[in-house]
Amino acid sequence: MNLRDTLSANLALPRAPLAGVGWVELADGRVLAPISWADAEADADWASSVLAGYGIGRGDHCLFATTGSEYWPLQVGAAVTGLGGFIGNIGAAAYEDRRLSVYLRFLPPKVIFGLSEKLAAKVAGSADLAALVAKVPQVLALPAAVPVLAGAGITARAISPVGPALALPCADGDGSHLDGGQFSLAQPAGTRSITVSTTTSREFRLAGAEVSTKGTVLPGCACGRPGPVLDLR
Amino acid sequence: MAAATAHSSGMLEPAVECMPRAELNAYHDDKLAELSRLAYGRAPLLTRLWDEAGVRPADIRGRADFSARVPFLTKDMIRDYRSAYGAPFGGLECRELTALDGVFTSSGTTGDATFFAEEWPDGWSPHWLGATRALYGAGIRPGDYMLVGSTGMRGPHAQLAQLLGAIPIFVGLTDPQLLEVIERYRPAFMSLVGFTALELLELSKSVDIKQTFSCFKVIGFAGEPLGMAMRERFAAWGIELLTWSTAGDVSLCFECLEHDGMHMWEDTGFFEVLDVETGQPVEDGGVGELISTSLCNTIAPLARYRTEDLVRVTREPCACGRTHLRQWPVGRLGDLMVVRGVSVTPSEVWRALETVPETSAGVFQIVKTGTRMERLTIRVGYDADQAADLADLRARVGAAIWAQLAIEADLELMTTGQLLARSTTGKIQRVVKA
Repeated sequence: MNLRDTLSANLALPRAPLAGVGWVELADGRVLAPISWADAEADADWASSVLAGYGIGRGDHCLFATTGSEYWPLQVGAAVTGLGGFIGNIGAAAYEDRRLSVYLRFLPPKVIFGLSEKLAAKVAGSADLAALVAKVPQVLALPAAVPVLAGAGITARAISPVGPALALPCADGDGSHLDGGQFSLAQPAGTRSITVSTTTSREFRLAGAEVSTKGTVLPGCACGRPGPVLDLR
Repeated sequence: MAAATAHSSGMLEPAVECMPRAELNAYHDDKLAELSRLAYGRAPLLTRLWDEAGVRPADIRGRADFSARVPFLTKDMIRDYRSAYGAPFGGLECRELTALDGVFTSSGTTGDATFFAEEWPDGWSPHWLGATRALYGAGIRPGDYMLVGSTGMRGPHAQLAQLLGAIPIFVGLTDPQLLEVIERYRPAFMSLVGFTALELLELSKSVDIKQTFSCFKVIGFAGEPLGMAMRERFAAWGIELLTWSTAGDVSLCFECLEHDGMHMWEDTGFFEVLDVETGQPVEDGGVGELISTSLCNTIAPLARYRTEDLVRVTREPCACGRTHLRQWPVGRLGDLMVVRGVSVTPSEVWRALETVPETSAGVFQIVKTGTRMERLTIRVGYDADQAADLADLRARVGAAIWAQLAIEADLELMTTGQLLARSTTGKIQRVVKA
């Protein structure tokens, strides 16, 4: 009679046909996007391979500042715990600045994932909070939050969904990587528009669909990692 | 009942959920002795408190010793220890940070939030694992769709669906595509937290809630008590609400379909309810402060933690067959106040405001200047679409308060949106300092 027994009772239930249903932000609107268990496993494995470069291991705290209604934190969270780290959680709303402060003072994270523009504005408006965030080794913020943080002297890099994919910076490079095994990108000449195609193994498929995210497709990254690289600034 | 096979009973773990009281008592005797051996000498704050009280693990052979000898733990003690020593879990830590998989926090309504440590068996969060018995019992089944995304502060909400074999849809209640999702997938469960319930009220102005939400088997509601007017409104929409809450910060507790109290899973925690004045256990059905002890947390367990939650409880078996303790939240210890000799609670103010149509959503705050006050000041949120004459509204609200409490109140009227915007935690703080 313990949590493992409860878990066993749950895992004895038939597994759902899908890991979940998320959203894909296309240039002409949002669409629902089913995620298979194979997708979820591949997504977590890929995120794990990128985050391995951050040196995340047992006892390392990674703080997620997210709305709870997105898929990518599940993907990245699985990678973090798979590497041995542990996750903390706050919401994305501006009033979460108090909770952010508590985490930063008493359980400083190695990485912050997903800082929103609203929360970044609260950070930028508080010298004390900005000083605490500046001490975090890696701050991965949503693209709109990056310049807000820069205005407060905080170096942050962009993490963002790009259609069904996730753009995740490597530890030392300048761009944000996408999983080349599942997604390919193209960019119409002279634009910051991005089109995404998926492999046929993906539950939700796209072929050259323009996504809402803007950026510049880079020729590669100094880290040498394969797959598309984006500059989301 | 204990002989029922898993799932045929409509329960996920019938043998545990319907365990006879004598077996639960024996389980608690073992687990409390085990917890004492684990925590003493490892958790610095607990060790200090126990040393000061002259308690050793060998003294604790079960419930009687534990309740008689183990000193209380308060949130302020945890915060103070954390500030003094920089220990993230406030001196409760029994193991290194390397044992952790997840951390989440208290709401932070009364001060700096405190941390709760989690170890995830096979990668599954125990927080959501603790909700699966209730949702299975409420009829959620593999293949159902569940809306997740009501909160980002409690970790991977999607796991709650996945544990049940259901499919999580990542969507928030304020998402513009919410109705599209409901129409397309006909989900079986979602949860409303705190004033997100008011979003449904707003939605009802343009959408047939009864038809649109007819697919839901149950809808969870948490974050604060739900007033009678809102409860009746949900009933009129044909929505079966399942109220849930934290169980003394050690796990979650949910109503079952009998709607006769929230089941506290006593295999995850040991719960005492003590009279606020005497500190003695209250009789079944009485109101007291909930004292909680973690039985499934070996990283940073709470031991005789004063939750400051006022609850009514019973250990009588529920009509559903479950035997674990049931609680009905009454309020918070800090909410107790006396105005000109009259005891006032938020629930009484709430009942008064529900009688006025423009304020029936129950969005209000009592401004507290002390335990004993000469004046009662209430910030009252009103529906701007309904309120045409504020002077008339003020008079009717004042009359409603008088009818309920026989006290003349100072009223600060503002729209519900304005009042909700004052929230610093995402919850409505019912009692605020001046």
